[in-house]
Amino acid sequence: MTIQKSVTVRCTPDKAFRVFTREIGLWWPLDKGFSYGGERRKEIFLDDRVGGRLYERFNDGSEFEIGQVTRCDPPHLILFTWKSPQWEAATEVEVRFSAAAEGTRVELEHRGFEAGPKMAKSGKGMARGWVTVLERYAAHAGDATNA
Amino acid sequence: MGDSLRTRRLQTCNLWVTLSIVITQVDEILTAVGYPIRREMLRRLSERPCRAGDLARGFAVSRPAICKHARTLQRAGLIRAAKSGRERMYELAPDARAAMRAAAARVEELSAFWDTALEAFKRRAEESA
Repeated sequence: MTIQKSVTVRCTPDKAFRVFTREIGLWWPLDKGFSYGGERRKEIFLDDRVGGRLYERFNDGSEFEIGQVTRCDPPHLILFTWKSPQWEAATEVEVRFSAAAEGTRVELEHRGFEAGPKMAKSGKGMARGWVTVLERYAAHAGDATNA
Repeated sequence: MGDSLRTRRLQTCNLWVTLSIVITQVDEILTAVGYPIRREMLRRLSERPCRAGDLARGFAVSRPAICKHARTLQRAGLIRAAKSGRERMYELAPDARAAMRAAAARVEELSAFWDTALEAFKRRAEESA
């Protein structure tokens, strides 16, 4: 399963990249339930370097690491892992930034939901028929809001 | 990116918790249906219950392999098995169709999650530096 999203923002790729990474704490909607800390939510950080962390710091000072940066090529691309505590394996988020007529096109792909250990055991040549159907469905649903 | 109804619906609960749990379930279903033989098995069982022997017919894989695929489908809650004499009978689980529809809905929720996040990102990125 892969989720693909894109959005065009009216600013330069440099700024789009910076806002997405170093300034993630200024816009990430922690207050809308987008936090692993629930009521303890406070801050979120994304270090824009390979090995850097995507993590939350809660109001009691404790931290929760969501993932780590595996590729970083400012202002074009950042790739980081994403693992919820209940998930078997980490998923992967890739964000690409490219100059567009009206600013910067930001393309996001969240993938790897099928990469759990169980999946690996069930054999190579795993066909993805149904997965592809769902992907198209998700992409279509995305188009409606991101046109 | 316009504002969406789904966005508002998602804000009513703690999204992380919801996503974490549902994606585990979706995984099982996607794993189960992500293989042509298992999809064909599901198709056959959606027509009528089937003996293990009949279910294996026509596939170029061993019967133990078919049983293994059946167990994967069982784990995902898509089919049920019962002993009938010396043979095992398989049938589509009563809520298999609903489970698959629910999996599709979960994909849509994750999709809406990123819509909301990217909307917030866009607003911030477009503020004057």
